[in-house]
Amino acid sequence: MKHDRKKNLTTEFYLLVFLAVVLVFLGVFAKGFYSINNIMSILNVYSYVLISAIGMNMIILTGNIDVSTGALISVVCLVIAAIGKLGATFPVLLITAMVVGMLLSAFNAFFITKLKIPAIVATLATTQIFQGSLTLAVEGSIYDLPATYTWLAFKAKVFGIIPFSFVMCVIITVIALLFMKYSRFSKKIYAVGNSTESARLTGINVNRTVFLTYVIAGALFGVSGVIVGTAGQRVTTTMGSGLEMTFIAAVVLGGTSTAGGSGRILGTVIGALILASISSAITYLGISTNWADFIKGAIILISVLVSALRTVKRKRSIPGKAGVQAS
Amino acid sequence: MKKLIAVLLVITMMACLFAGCQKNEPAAAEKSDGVTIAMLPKFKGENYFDACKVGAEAAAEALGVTLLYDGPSQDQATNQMQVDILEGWINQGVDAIVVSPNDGTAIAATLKKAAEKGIKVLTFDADAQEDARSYYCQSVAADGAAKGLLDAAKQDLLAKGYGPDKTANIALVGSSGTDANQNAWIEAIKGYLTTDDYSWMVIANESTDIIHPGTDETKVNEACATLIGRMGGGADQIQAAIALSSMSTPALGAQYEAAASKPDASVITMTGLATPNAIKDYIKDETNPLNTGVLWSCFDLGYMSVAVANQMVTGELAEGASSVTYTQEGKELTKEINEQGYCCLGAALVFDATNVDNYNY
Repeated sequence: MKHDRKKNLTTEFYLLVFLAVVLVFLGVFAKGFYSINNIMSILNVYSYVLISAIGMNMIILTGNIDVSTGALISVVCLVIAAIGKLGATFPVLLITAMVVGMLLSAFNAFFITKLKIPAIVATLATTQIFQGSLTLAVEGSIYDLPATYTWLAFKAKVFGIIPFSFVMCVIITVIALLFMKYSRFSKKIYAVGNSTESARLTGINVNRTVFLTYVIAGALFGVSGVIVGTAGQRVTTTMGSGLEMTFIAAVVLGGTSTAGGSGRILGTVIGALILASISSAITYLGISTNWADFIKGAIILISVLVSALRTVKRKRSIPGKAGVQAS
Repeated sequence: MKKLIAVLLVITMMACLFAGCQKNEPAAAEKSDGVTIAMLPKFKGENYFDACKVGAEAAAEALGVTLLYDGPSQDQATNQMQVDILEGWINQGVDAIVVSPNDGTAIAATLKKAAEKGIKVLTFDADAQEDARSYYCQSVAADGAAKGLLDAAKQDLLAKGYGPDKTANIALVGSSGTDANQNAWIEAIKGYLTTDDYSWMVIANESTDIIHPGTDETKVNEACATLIGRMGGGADQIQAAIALSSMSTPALGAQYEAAASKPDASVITMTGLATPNAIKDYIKDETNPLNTGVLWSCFDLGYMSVAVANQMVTGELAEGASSVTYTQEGKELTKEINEQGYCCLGAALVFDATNVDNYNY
């Protein structure tokens, strides 16, 4: 166990060093990057990326995956836009979004736990169902939304400057860090991710654990949906398109094993920050944003390669422990 | 059991995929039963094309023709999706097709195929390859749009102390980067910037100051937020943002509202193409530097397109005419048609806080 903890520490350590180097580099070469305005708009993006990435991290820790998150968020955005058009205020929007997120995520979990369909297949199918139902429900977008709807993005600033979305993000992150460290449920998540069979043998209800994990993650996706959806007066059917890849990338970059059972929230916290800053950073460096996706991809690839190389090394050094990864 | 359910899921998934293409397609119109005109926007479900649609519907009703209206959703605003819809209409045997192509070159083959079947083909809003259509119902000439946008920005910049003695950096926000209209406007804007009247307005770095964030709302919002962070009074900052799509203009206004520490509105300005409704809150808000919007009457554009298409079907308007006359709401209108087949609606409409409430689209 001790050995594994050390390994996890170094993953996060490497990431932190990388982040620090990038931040110093930006300080020197990207004039204006550290303006308050830019930092706050990065924090806003960071908030929705991290909140969802925490949910995604939990799902991946159980050895599953969810590629429907982007479409799920699009549904959340459209639902809150529909009630926002009628004048619903932020608390109503937030609760509705979380409930919708939980329901849709439970729908995913139903196929995965009850019908035993592999998570990637099930969520690939539900992606189409979510997205398809949107195009059936609305013609492209809901627009001309009232001021009550955009309150979170336009008006909700703590001390007049810090976006409230970031405050929500900090609260959720702190709870998640404590929850994943101390709760009994988190132990079950890691156990299921390590080996469903041995988890079952120790008396863990695997299906229930996975189901609940999806539902919790769904609530987090809902919170992200509110931040993404209330950014402007128009909500299209594609608000969340492609976001799932950013979330999964933040999790993977943070050192969580896609096989499940290994990885911590702290890594995701750093991974999400790196990904959330890229678009803005390269603009300030004077490079076209068309490069953003390319650079994101390269960073993820390098980080996965580095961690794969380390795993191979580790397997060679302790042959008896090959494949066993614990928290 | 498991397999059965997996198969069912896959079938549902396929059904959902196709649902998007097949809905809103009314049963094949009876050939003998009057004129059927099919209108294909770049995408549907957005203020701009919705307003065109209302105009087209009004024209269809006045002329007693059947109007089919369908287009891709915004995220699927690709040539392929438009071709799929066109193929359906060609098989149905509509009388005329009015298209705003996402890619004017790629769609040409399908348009020619329609013309071979005797269907009258027109473009509206954005043009296709010239030999693939009869006429192009143009909103305003590229030159006029560029000048309207630059003048809107210039007027505000002059009022804020910029001018020949104090240059201003400008940034342009487009969308996909393949849109024929936007590219023509960008070229026209660049042309104007070299003339004496506008030479104090500068695009400092084309790779970061001409932005194409795509057609995805979330990406457009992020790109506009970053741009607003770069705005301010300094020589290394941006003083004027000009948005070239009806998505990015409201996004600029919204992201200014959302900005944590807003750049001083007395040293910057923003303008762009948008429907008045989409940005009127920002225009009327004196603290928001989005003070003007530029557009043409979408209603009139939709109306004119259907009227011209109908005249082609009935034979009133032949190929190669030099003008077209039609009646809109009791008024007889005549529009010039130039050698390239551009039938131009008129000049750009610049609206501000004083008149934004006069428009309802």
